[in-house]
Amino acid sequence: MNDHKFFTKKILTENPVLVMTAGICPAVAVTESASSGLLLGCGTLLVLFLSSLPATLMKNIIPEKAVCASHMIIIAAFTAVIQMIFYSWFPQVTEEVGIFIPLIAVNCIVIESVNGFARNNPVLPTLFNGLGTGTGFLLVLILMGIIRESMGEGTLFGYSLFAGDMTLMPFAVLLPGGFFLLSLLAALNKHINRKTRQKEKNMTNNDREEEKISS
Amino acid sequence: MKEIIVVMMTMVLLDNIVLAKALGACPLIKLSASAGRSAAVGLAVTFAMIGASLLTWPIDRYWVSPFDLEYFRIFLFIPLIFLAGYLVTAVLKKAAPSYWESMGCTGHLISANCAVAGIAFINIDQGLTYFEAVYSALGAGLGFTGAMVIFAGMKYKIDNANNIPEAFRGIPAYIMALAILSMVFIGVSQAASAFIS
Repeated sequence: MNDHKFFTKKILTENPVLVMTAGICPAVAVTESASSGLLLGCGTLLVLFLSSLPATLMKNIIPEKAVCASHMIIIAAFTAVIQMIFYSWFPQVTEEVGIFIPLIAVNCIVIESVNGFARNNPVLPTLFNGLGTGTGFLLVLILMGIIRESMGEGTLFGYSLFAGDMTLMPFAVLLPGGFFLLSLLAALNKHINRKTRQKEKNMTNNDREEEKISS
Repeated sequence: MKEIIVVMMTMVLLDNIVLAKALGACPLIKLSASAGRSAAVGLAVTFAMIGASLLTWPIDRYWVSPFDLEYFRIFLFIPLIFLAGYLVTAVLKKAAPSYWESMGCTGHLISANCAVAGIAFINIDQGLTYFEAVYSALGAGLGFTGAMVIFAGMKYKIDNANNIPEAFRGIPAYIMALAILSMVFIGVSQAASAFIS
């Protein structure tokens, strides 16, 4: 079975934020601190994973016209649950993230993978796809949060990194800094993908030549 | 009247929903093509925002707030916001099919759009009155349209440039352009707020 491929390819080659340009808004607006990036990433991963399960199980019951609306209701219900849990467990960070917790429900990533993938695919690939998409988003958010917080504020998860109030680059915590960093990450991802594709191409070409020689 | 103008101009110029709050950056990058098409999409999003504000505000004032149902807010609001976007796309499809085709986009980027949902939640958080909420949505929509038309021009320039490094072609260059636009905008809005106050 190759179902785990749906998980691995979503992390680098089809990363939801860096390649598919979905969910740029939370990725830029929330990652001013690493902890809020981590919280929102976990929330999105949970909502995505939990709501793709009923969506794929009920795909034969829901009539074609009501698919979008019923998926929206499923996603909204899980987002509400996640918000309640986060408020009781991590009240301070949830307050910081603010309106982006409710906005998980209209996040392009969640909607595209629930509405586009779950309704046409069996259970196991859907679960792997949900997990992979969420993990790809979570990794981007944590990476951006760590870089932006350590450069802009001189702290990491609230602990100060340098002596005194030194900051390397206060620009990093502003909104343009977030866009800038996201663009650099997307370019890096594109570069890595191109290199790996070239390597694979070379490998297959070499194999073919060897086959020719041996035949 | 004065308050309404202040609320609207704040949403267009100072608190621009895309460039100062990063809401709705995904449709901005995906949908902006020519200036005309971008304006069409922007106006559709504006109507969806007004519809979402019209629907959600009374629910919050007369049902959620009096009975302390804050934990229930997301579950009530998201379907309503989706309904507003769906109504706008349905009306557009019926009333102006050529206009709808010229937009050339799938409906869910309008109905399920961070900017549309965000403005409904922001209006409630700021405690605006009903008319202020509607005008704030109108201002946010106009700000979104403006950003989209500006970005369409930048996207045209990027697509036709031939000296961009290989790794930056396409999406990374668009995001970089958005970063520069947002930087310019924040500078202008700081200057404007200093000038006003």
